Formats: sequence, structure tokens, C-alpha cells
Amino acid sequence: MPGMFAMVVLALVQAQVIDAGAQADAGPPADAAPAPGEPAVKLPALKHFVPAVYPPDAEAAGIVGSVMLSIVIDVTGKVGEVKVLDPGPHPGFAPAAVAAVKQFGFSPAEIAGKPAAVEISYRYEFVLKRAPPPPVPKDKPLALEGRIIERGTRSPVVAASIDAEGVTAETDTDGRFNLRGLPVGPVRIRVVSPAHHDLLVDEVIEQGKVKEVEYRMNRRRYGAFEAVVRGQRERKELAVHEVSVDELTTVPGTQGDVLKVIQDFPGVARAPFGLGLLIVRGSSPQDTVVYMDGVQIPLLFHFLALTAVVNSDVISGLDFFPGNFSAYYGNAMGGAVEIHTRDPKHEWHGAGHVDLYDGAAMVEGPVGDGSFFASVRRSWVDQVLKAVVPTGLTVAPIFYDYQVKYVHSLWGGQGSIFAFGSSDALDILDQNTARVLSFDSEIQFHRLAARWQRGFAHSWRNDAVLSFGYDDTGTEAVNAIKIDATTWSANLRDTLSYRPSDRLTLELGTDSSLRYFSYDVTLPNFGQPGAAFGNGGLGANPPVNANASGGWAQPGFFASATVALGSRWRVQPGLRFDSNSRIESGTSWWFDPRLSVYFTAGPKTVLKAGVGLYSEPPQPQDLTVRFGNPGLTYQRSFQYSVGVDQKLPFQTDLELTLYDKYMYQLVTDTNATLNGDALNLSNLGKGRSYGVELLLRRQIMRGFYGWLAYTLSRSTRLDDPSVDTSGYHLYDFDQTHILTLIASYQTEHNWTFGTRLRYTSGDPYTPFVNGIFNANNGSYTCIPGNPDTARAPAFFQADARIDRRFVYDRWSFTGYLDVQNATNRANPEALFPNFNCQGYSTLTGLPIFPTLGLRAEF
Amino acid sequence: MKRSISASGWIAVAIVCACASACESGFDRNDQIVNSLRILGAAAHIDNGDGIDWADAQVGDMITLVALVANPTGVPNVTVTWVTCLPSLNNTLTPCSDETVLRTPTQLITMASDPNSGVIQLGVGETIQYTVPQEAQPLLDALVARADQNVNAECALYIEAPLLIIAQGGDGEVVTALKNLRLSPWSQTGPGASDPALQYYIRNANPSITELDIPNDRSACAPGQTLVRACGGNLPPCDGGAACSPDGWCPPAPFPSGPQTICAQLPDTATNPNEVQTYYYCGLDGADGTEMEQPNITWYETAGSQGSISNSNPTGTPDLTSRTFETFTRPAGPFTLYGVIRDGRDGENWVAQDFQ
Repeated sequence: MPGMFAMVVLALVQAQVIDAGAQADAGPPADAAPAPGEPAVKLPALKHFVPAVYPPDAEAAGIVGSVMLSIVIDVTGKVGEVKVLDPGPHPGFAPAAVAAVKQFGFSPAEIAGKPAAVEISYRYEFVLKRAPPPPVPKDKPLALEGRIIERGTRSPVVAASIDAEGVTAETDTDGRFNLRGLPVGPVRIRVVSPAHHDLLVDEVIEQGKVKEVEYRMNRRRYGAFEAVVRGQRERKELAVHEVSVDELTTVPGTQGDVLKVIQDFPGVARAPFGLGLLIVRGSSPQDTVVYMDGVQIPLLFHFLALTAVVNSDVISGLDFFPGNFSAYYGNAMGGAVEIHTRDPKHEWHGAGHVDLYDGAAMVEGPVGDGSFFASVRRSWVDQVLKAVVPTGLTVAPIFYDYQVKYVHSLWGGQGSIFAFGSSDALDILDQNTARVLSFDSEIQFHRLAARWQRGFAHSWRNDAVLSFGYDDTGTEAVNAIKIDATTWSANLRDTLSYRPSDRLTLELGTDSSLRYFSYDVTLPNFGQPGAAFGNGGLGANPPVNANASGGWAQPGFFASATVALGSRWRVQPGLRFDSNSRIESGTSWWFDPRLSVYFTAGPKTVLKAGVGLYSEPPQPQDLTVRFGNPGLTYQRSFQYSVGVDQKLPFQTDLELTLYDKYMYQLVTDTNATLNGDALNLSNLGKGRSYGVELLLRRQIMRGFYGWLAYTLSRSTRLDDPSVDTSGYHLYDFDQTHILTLIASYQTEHNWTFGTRLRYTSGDPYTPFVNGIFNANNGSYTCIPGNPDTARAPAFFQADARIDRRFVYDRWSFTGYLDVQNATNRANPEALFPNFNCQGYSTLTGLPIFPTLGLRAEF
Repeated sequence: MKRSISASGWIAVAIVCACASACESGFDRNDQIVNSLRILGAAAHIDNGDGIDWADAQVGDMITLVALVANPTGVPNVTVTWVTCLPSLNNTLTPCSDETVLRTPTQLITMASDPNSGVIQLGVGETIQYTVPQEAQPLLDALVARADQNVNAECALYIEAPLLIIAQGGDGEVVTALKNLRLSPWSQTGPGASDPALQYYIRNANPSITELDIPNDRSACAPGQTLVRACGGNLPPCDGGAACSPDGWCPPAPFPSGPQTICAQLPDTATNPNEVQTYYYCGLDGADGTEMEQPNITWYETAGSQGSISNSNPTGTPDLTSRTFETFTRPAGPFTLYGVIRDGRDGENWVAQDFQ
């Protein structure tokens, strides 16, 4: 090919760090202040470039194309392992690209201000190009300047290569570029970006004039399938499942709700009716804590888990810790969930969606030097239910949530104000039997948080969150139940970290709160646990009322260290101190020591082990005189686990974890009395949960992602001996097998197809061994046998999803069809005894349930 | 094991919502065709000489306890044993309520022989008599004290003593029923009580049925065809001079074939105010109100097929001509029809009639 020579166009393909979910092409520059709740991410920068040799026969044949590589860059910036993900159209391309890349030099990536080893994806373009003209002096006149943005999202295209008649340039972090010294007359502009389709544009350059342009590039795959940098942040948690929003919005069966995917990870049992209760490693739902940007929230899902209490549009990612987590989290014996919201963009964008249940809208943009987002969602499922429930029965759930965030540089760091909240109201009324079936409930919470993050002198960093909260719960039912409870809280979470060297990181922090509560509760006197007839029944023992108000302090402090021992060992000891002044009679403070150890057995293999104590106070209502026992003390669990992380071919990771958790001092029902009065509750409960978790995960690559999650587990409980003496029995939500398979593929034409398959063992239940006819009302009272000695049939569900995204210049539009239970399997969700307790009828769950959703964004 | 209120609450809500559309599926109750040994009702009758069939007793009252035992298959040598445990006000679990004991209720009969067990055998037979012992007086006194202290307790001046009725067949079959015997300090309560806290409790009387009909129109129980009616006392004599049976019923008319709607007539409350009583309830907000009993009738048959059951009784009105209706198709052969009426306040009565 006379007059031509081979040119290698390099493009660094980097869009996000998985644990933070930040997108480089739309996110802050590499040295920007970190987003709240996310690790500060500084991407590796190429310092030393070596061009690849164009294979002569390919050059002669005019073959062009690209090679997709995966490159490991260590903490010093040196290139480690290089894997070929896509060899391209010519067999000589891949060896040439690998040979060149191995000679590259980078500045190391940084996460949270610390150098970190990362694995990045690289596209190496082999392009035949005309011989370059003589070098263009820097004082050549500016001929063309402009900006390149992405169609639909209007996000800047970063690091795109522009070539015009041999004059080249690269876009900056705002997508801007300029070309100098272009010849006058028609020129052809070629723009190459690894995540986008190539763009060819013809322009006419006029003498003495600067042409200003704006180009729009089509992303190869929109939404879920960004090309990604697989950053491995320094691990502080033995088992953490990190997910980014882009991975999650198309998971079938979730209606695009990011947080619902938590239930698809190993270690999480399926809740009845898909209610969204987080049942983690055999712990009770209330044993798992949920934080958003460092602020604890009381619930994760709206009514019946139709959707999460946070709009997915403002979430950048989440971390889910099923157990053996660091000292950063306390007052939890189960798991921990940390939701990260993203920073608002500094230009105007918005999004909205509608589906069967609700509608939501989000807008973001600049305010002065800062930026903000505001999001609101409101349900209309009450109107939908009106159409399907029988006449005379009113089922009216109404929910809303909102999130407003403002980010601004502050005192050398970054400050943010974040307000968010949620409300759920539910009315159920049978007009025919209003005194028998009436239920009116509302639960709401609101939070206002201020956050400030700043690094000092390279080695110090502080992250402080001060938040205020308001929680209110109200319920009235069948003229016999009335609950009105309100809690005000002020919370401080501050973490000071010091990293004097690569081998040592120290963290010291507080996680403390002050709370003021008031409650007014009236409940029927249900009688003692284990009583078949309530010891006299509702009429003889009138409803019991209790009301009180007061405050309590919940100070918490934690300290941890990360110590590298040699090149293979890393040890992370931690200590947590918590106290709860609401515990008046029992021990009101406790220390929880924790230790994690990591051993890098090979470039693809990390062995890990952890051990620690995890404690939490009783629930506030458990400490009341009327309904609980003021003499209760904290609950505790001893957890240990071992596991391995193994990288496998084809961008696949395997995580295998064995865990064991021994729980004691659990709050449980009791028949014991003190001075003739019922104690109601005691700390004599015990439990154990153990099992193995497996996660085989294929990262997003070339449009495909998926994972296989499997848990083999057993969870048991021991009741207070005054209630049951049959010994350890299965926990109510023990599920021996929990299997989830998720697969999703997006074409380059913006079609997405996905499926989710779930199988779980049935929940244990307590069988009835006798039925006693109640002559007072004509029904039977069923007498239970030993607790949880039978098991319901297994659960299986197949979900499917199809998305289609339409991209226009300034906005995009997505429609999806999400079909839950596509096989229309009748899954048993609850068993009801027949009239005399001699058999069971089954209440089945959701039938085949298609949901159509629409979404637009600009 | 304890479960959080929020978790169990949401599950309950989910079940309610799911039931709204799905509970009918697969729920063949079939509980009103009696094809085995069963106890269908139990009533306590207290006669204080005022002509009213009271359901509440206090210390010293003699109670006649009657069980309605259906034995359509003729289980031989059925023995009915009544046992109870003295209730307490401090939530102490008694053997009569203990689920572990009730897995095998005959244990109670054995336990009753131990004076320290807290189980008392009241008698044997479908009908027994029992006098409330003096030992129950402290419990009633405690009720009065509680009412003086707690406004929510003013309407609940009674104890429901659980009576267990254990029917044992000669073939080993055992069926058990619970009857709440209502104990109240009735002589101190009512609108005329000197203590205001005791004015809100109205002593309960048993409801009764005076007639079974096949009405012409389901909107009312009459007029139509009379199947059977009560007799004796102040009631009119049976037609044609027929004899009134020992349990107070005239000879029944033939039951027509084909689907028939049956209903029950209750006494006229204008002349029998204690049949459907007005009583007080104590609201959660501390406000008191009055409520009228809503008697409910459950129908049982030993053969035949049941159709729809409806209750067209207007809420809150003493419309005694409009009660629970049942559509029933008789079998070719003889059968027994039971109608058990309950007032929701431990008052109970029934009619049991054989048809050829």
C-alpha cells in the first residue's frame, strides 16, 4: 500500500471502578475530590508508550481492526499480566499489541488516595494511515475546535482520538479538542472511541477562520454495558459483593430496581412473597443494617417490596456484606448494606420512568459552583389494586420517596448536603366486616445529612457525616391494635484514616447517635407464648396500653488497621466499642474485636479468613415494660469464615466462602415470671448458622454479564426453655439450598435480553398435630407440634426481561417488558390448615406477571 | 423464636392482599357436612329463676353445661368428659391452654386426678351440672379492682374459664372442644351499679332459635314454609295437638327435595330484650359506645350438599326476620340438621332436628 504506513491508535478503555460505580467518561477528572460514599478514584495514566508493530501482511492486505486486552497494573504502575480478550481480525494483531503493552509504563491508580492495583480493559486499534505530514509547529493556526458528546446522554466522550488529514488530537475530560494546521479545503475527520462507534465527518476549512463543531457519537452499548475498568479496591471486608448500577438496572425480575438485586446474592434467603426482608446468613431481618452514604435508614423497600425507597437514578453502587465485616459497621449481627449515591452532574440532565406501580422523575444540574440532583417518586399501585381486588375490599398502599443532594467544594475538600425520605401508607378495609378487618398503617422516615471529606498532607484523610433523622410508625387495626411510635435522632459518623506507608493504614472513627423517642401502643393481650387460647381471650383481658417518651445515647467507636506483611500477607485487626443507654439493667456496653487475614497465593488466587464478635442491642420495643423486658441486655454472635477468591478465564471470578455463626443472648419469648409478673422476653435464645456460599460471576464484557450464586446452609434456634424444651430447631427462614442464575446480553442495536432463575428450599414450618373445636366461634384452634419440624415445598421462579433503548441526539427512551414467573409456576408461599387442622391448603404466590416500563432521560 | 413486628406484620399484610384474589383457590373447607364424630357446640345455662337463660355465672351459680355431640357414624361407647383449669389474671400458663398438653388432650383427664396439677374434672356426660366454687371469688374481685383502675377494662368484667370437652369413642377416636365459660360478678354490674366503673358490663344471656323456615324470598326469613318450631313454655302449642318433644320442638315438616334455602327465626326482642342484647364496648381511645349483638348461625348437616351461605342481617339493626341463610339440598335418605346460634359473647344455643 504505497504511501501509507501503519499507525497504532491506542485507546484506554476505562469507564468505571466496579465498587464505586463511577463512570470515568461521565465522572470527575482523575484528580477530582472523591464523591461522597465512594472511594476516591484516580485512574492510571500512561507515562511510557511503545507503539506496536503493524503486521506486514496485514498492512499489505489493508486489514484494520482492534485488539481487546485486559491489563493488570500493579501499585507501582508496572504492567503485569496481559490477557487477550478479543484478538481482532488478524492473527498478528494480538501478539504485536501484547508485546507493545508489556513495555508500557503507568502512573499507578489510586483509590481513596492510596495506590492500588487495578485491572483495566484496553482496546488497541490498528489503523492504516496516510504517511504523516511534517510535524506541525505549535504555532500553527487553530483551524478546528469542538466538543464530542455522546448521543442520548450528552455526556462528554473522554479520551477519544481525532484524526484529520494526519493532524491528531485527543479529547479532554470535558470532551473538548482542537486541531491546528489543517489544510484549507475539505478534510475528513475520523473520531475513534473504544466505547463508541467510529465517527467520520467531512468539514471544509476556510483560510483564517476557526471552525467550531460539536460531534455526537453513538455508544456501542448503552446503559448496562459500559466498558469497564475492573478496579480492585483494597479489601477491608472478607466477603463483599460489590455491584454497580450499570450492571443491575437490567436484571430480570427487578423492574430496574438496583437494590432488589441484593436478594440475588449468596447468603441471602428468599423472603416469603418476595417481601424484601433481608435474611442474611440465617439472621433475623432486623439484624441487618442498611446505610446510605453513611446514614442508617430503617427500611430498604416500599410496600411489599414493590420498589426500593431510593430511586436507582441517584445510586452509583452498593456494597453488601453478608458477614465478618470490618469494625466500621456495628450494632448488627446479620449483614450490612451500604448504598452509595452518585454526585450530581454539573450540567442539566434529567430522567423519568413510569411502570405499573409508580412513576419517578429526577433532575440535576449546576447551582453556582456546585451541583445538585432532586428526585421524587410517587406510587399509583393503589389505583391498580382497585381494579383487581374484590368489591367491598379496599387495599390502598400509597408510597413516595425523595432524594435531594447538593455538592460543593468546601474547605479544601468536598461538602454535600443530602436530604432524603420515604413514606408508606396502607389501608385495608372490608366494608362488610369493618370491625373484623380494618388495617391502617403508615411508616415514614426522613433524613438530613451534611458530609465533608478532605485529605491532609497526603497521609491523612477525614470523612465526616452529621445527620438528623425522624422516624414515625403508626398502625391501627381491628379496633384492638394501635401503635404510634416516633423517634428523633442525631447521628455522627466520622472516620479519620492515616496511611504513613503502603504497608500500613490506620483508621479511627465514631459511629454514635442520640435518640429521642415517644410511643403510644395498645395491643391485645395475646397471652403467654405457647398458650392455645390466650389464657382467657381478648375479651377477658382488655388491650394493654403503654406510652412513654425519653432519650438514649448510642455511642460507638471503632479502630482498625491494615498491615501488609511481605508481599503476600495482609492482616486487618479491628476493634469496635458500642454502648446503649437504653439498656438499663443488663450490661449496656460491649467490645467487638475482629480480625481478617488475606494471603495472596498466586496472581489469581487470594485466600482469606476472618473471625470476630458482632453484637447489637435489643429492639427498642423489646425493652418496654409492657411488651418487653427492661432487663434485657445486648445480643451477640461469634462469626468466623474462610474463603478463596479465584480469577478464572473469560473475565470470570469465583468466590467461595465457608461461614459459621454462633448466636447467643438472643432476645426470645419466655414464660418466666418475676414477682408474679410475666417477663415476656429473655436473653436465653441461641442460634447457629453455617454454610457455604459460592459466587461465580462473569463481569460485563462485550454485552454479556451474569452470575451464579449458590448457598448451602443451615440455620437453627434454641428457644427459652420455658417455651420449648425440644432443643435446637430450624430457623423460620432456613433454606438449605438457595440458587440464583442471572444472565443478560445486550446487542449493539440496544436490545437487551435477560433471564433470572431462582430456586430455594421451602421454609420450615410448624406442623399442626391436633385441632380443637372452639365452640365459642365455631372454628378450630390448631395445636402446633414441635417448632419448625416440617418444610414447605421448594420455590422456583423464572423471570425474563427485554429492553429496547432508542437514542436520539439529546435524549433517549427505553421501554422494557419484565415478566416475573414466566413459567407461571404455582409456588407455595403459605400453608393454611383445613377446617379441623388435619390437612393443609396452599396459598400460591405471584402468577405470571408482566410489567411494562417506560423510561426517558436527557 | 421471636420475630419482629415489622417482619410478621408485612407477611400478614401480604397474605391479606394475596387472599383478596387467591384465597378461594384450593380452600375446600367442607366443615359443615358432619361425617364423623364431632362436637358442634357447647353451652352454659344458668337459671336464676327469672325465666332468662343466662350465659354468665358467678360464684355459687349452678351451671348446666351441655355439649352438642354429633355421631353420624355411630362410634360406640362415646364418653364425654369436661375438664377445666382455674384461670388467673397474671398470665400464668395453665395446662388447659398449654399447647404441649393439648397435643394429647386426654392427658388432662389423667392430670385431673392429681390435685396439684391445677386441672379439675367437672363431670362426665353430654350434659353435666357444676356449681362455681368459692375459690373463684378472688378472681372476680380482681376484675372489679382492675375496672376501677383501667378504663379499658370496664367493659371486660369477666373471665373466660376454658372448659375442655373431650369426647372419646370406644374405637379410640378422640375429639376435643373448647367452651369459654364466662364468669362475671354480674350481681354487681350493669347500669344500676353503684360503682360507675361497673356500669359498663351487661350480663350476657344465651340467644335462641324459635323456628326454622324455608322462606319464599331470601330477603326475609318469612313468610314461607315452616320446617320446625319451638314449643313449650309461653310458646304456642304444636299444630294439630302434636306433642312437644322433651327438648322443646314440635314434630318437623317434611324437608322438600331440591335446593332449598333455610333460615332461622329468633324471638321478638320487643318482648325478649335479652335475646339480642345491647352491650358496651370500650374503645381504644377511651371512649365508650354501645354495640348490638350480631347472632351468627352455623349450619351443619349429616348428609346432603350445601350451597351458598349468606348473612343478610343488616349491620347494627335488630332485624330478627333476616338471619343467616343457607342453601341446602337434602339427601335421599334421613339426615340431621343442626343450627347453632352464637352471640359473640360466649352465649350459645342450637336446634338439632332429624328429617326422614
